[in-house]
Amino acid sequence: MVDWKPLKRWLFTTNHKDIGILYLLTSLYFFVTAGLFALTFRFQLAVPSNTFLQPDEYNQLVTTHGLLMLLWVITPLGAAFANYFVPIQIGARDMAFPRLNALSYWVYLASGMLALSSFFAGGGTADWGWTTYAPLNTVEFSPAVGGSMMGLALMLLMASSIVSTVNFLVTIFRLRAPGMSLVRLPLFTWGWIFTSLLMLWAFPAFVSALSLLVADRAFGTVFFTSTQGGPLLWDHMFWFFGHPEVYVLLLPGFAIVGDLFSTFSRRPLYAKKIIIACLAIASILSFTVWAHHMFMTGISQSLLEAFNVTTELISIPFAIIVIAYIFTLRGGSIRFTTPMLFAVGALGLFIIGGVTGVFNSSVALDTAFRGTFWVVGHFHYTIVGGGLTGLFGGLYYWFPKITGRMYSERLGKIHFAIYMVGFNLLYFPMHLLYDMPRRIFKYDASTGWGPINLLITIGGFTFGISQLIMFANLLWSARRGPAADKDPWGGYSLEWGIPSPPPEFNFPEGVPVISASGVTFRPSTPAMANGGQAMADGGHANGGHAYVSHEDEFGEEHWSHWPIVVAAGAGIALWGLLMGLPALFLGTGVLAAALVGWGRESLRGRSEVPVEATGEKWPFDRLENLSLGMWIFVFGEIAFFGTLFGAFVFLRMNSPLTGFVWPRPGEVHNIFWGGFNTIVLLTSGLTMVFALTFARRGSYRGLQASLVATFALGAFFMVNKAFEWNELFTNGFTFSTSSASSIYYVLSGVHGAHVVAGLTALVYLMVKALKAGSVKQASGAVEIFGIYWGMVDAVWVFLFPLLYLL
Amino acid sequence: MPALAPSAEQWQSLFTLYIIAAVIVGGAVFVMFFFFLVRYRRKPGGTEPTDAPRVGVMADRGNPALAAILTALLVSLFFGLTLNTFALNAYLQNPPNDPNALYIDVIGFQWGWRFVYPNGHEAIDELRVPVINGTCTSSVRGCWSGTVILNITSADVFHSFGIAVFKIKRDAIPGRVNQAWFVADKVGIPDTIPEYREAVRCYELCGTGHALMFADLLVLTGDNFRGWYNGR
Repeated sequence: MVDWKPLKRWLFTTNHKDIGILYLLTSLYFFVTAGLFALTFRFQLAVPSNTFLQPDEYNQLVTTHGLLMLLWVITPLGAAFANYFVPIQIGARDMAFPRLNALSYWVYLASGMLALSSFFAGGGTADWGWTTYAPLNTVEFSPAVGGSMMGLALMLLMASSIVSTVNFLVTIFRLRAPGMSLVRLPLFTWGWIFTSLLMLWAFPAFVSALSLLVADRAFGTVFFTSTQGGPLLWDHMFWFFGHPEVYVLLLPGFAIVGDLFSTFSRRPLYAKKIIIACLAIASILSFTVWAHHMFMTGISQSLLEAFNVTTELISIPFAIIVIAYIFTLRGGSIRFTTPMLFAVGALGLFIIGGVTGVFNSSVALDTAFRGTFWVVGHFHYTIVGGGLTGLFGGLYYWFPKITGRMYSERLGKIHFAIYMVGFNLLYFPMHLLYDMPRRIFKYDASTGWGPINLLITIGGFTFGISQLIMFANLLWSARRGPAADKDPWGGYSLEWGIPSPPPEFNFPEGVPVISASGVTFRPSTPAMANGGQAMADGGHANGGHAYVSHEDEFGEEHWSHWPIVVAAGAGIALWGLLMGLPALFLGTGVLAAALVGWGRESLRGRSEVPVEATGEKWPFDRLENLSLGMWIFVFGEIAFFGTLFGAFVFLRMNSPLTGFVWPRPGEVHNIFWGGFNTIVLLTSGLTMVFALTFARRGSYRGLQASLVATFALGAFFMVNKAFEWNELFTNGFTFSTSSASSIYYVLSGVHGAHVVAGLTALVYLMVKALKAGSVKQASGAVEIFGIYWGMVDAVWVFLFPLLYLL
Repeated sequence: MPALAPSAEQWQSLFTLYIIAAVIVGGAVFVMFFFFLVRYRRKPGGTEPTDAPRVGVMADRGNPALAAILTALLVSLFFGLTLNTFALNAYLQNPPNDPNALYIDVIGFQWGWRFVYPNGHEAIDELRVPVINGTCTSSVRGCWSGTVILNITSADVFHSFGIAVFKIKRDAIPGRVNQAWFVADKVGIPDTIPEYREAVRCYELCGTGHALMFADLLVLTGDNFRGWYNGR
């Protein structure tokens, strides 16, 4: 008889530790894939005039190597550790939203499969480099459907990351154990806070850039082909995301390095508060440096000099952190086990990458470096050297905790030695090639670049082979390694105070209580939530046994089959969008059914995580988990719409310079119609306020009536919109008419999609109000929806004058 | 070391300055790092520090003054480097006001470079320019001083125009015109000066022909250049 239980566990789990392992294995799978891509094109470059690869194959491999490594390997590898350890490090029993956590993982996997399948979509995948410069990324120059599929895969991945970000921020701010003040959080958790904040603000910007790209490719809008938008519009939007993304990649590994330095030198971290402050400063500055990727584009010189200075400034917080790490070692008793070796290696490599970064900040030196192998060398030293090496240190460090077994120290040290030799052989010589353009598939022997390239390729294969040692070591040790103690290293974060591997609810001895003298455990206080009400969605696991492990291998609380179905539906639907209607209908149907199932599950009150009454929640003591989550989500939406508004302003201001006459107010759009519709939508905001008031008063009839009114007004808004679009189309104002029509349709289109999503949620809300035991129980959900609906209304308040009156 | 063209020479000296700063600062950090690693390694029979990490103890220590001093040091270092950078940037970005300069329109396309001269002559994948001529000053009419000013754009996708031997580069963007300039100091053709072979290159991925998007550089004497220019 087949034992289905393990399969069921891994497919339907909502346990943060299981999801962490899924993230870990998947990201390592993509690591091997993208690494093999790199070895393939390094083989091509090993000797001059090689004919191993065709140019289009080379371009596809270079592009997907970059995209996969950045977005499907390094960030998810950090997410793997964050999933597994952040809840434990803050003293929680799980994430705030376990099902959303599972959803993030499955959507990540679906997006990865979509990305890989784009190779086989006919004509190959994206071949324009990971930076996707316009207008090479448009249909005219890259017609292959695989490119569009990669764009959709990226959007899906961004969605997964944004959901995950909301989840982590709510978890870290609301689910901390008693006494676990923010400043007491381990550095890794702090690193993940800043990573999450960066993702929350930068990834929506990328989604808006991708929306314009997909609109161009699929619907014929003209953002990147018109002169008002064109290459620079993409550059600004892309790098506004692209530079913070660099720190998204760096911070998790870099933060792990700090914790490892402390643990293995046996000293507390030096100047931890200053390190945290520096991480905060660097995160903010990372949004002010993007134009250093555009030094040669011919934008205003004074602007470039300003970006030159901000780029130098951002190296200062990192220099301080590096010094603080080194000072941590002082007076210590350093043990050079494998995790510490990787941490030392990561810091050393990061210093080199940081120093070459100062060269790159110079707008004058960039005349030589831009687009050459110098840049490739620099960013691999920072991202692979500082980021991935630190994450590998984390992998060895936490391996005993995850598996309960020790790895082979000897093989770990051999891995480290070959890793460092391979790494430096691979990336250091690239700095000597500051005349050689990057991403060229071949070069002539007369250039003299041959010997250095051969060296780089040898280094690349050495580096690649060293990873096999790690995989062999870890795979063997996971089954056969000697049993690990619960604290083999003498760590300070909470995961080292519980068994290896941790039990299902993490803390078998009760709630961890942190004080200056250390951690103690006490039985859980009956969980309270919703600002003092008894746990509304009454669950079974909320009592005093909440922190006690279930005897079952996975408790009922840690189980839902909807996340994987939602992700599958979304993946199939996006695939079908490009590949054929049957798949589109199938995917949409699956998605809709799964969402209904998810909603029904919520109505039954399963999958609620109890909130520890005495836990640390500062500064969000007074918000509920869900409303904090909604506020954070709205924050991300602001970045999304803000970037789109930015695109509008860019197009509008460029139009006189390019001789394009922007339609005058009233020339194309019917101001009265639009104004009427605005009033309709704002009225629906008012009825939503009524709904909340009735819900708080406990008036079921009032609540239901206001919700119905809100729904009717929202639907009326959309019907009006449909008529408006229809008339505009009839008048010849179509997607591809001009940059003015393109931005109109995208802005009002994505806003309309938000309205439709809101209407769907309203249906759920009406059912919930119908089924709730008392109306007051529904008021929390009504309030959360109110935040969302208010945001949708507010966006339109900005959109209306932008689209109709300017 | 052979003499460099003026722009390359200036670039090289700024690069050297950065290298010196990098070696001093980076070297100091590495020396301290490795000194601590060796000095504080665990010794047989050694004892643990009294404040060694324990589970749940989130100790804090450190010295904010040190961070402030470090910040001040780095800012002053950057201040020096930035002034030099801005000076070179001003030099590279602003072509001299030279009435005897040669203006060439550069149009990048998939995949090659088209050079259009003031008299309408066009050349593809061959950039011919006159060498520097010290006797051709602004008071002398009808000669080429050797200053070459390029107006760079693209006919299709995003390219980046670079001449490594002069250390100049500008993006070639459709719908925009970017300027760059240089003075060639040595007469030669690819057969006599190897660096002139495929000297003009594209530095932004622009499709399958990106690797083959280059042009040879031919630096002629004033007379030879005039002969070619008038004869075509």
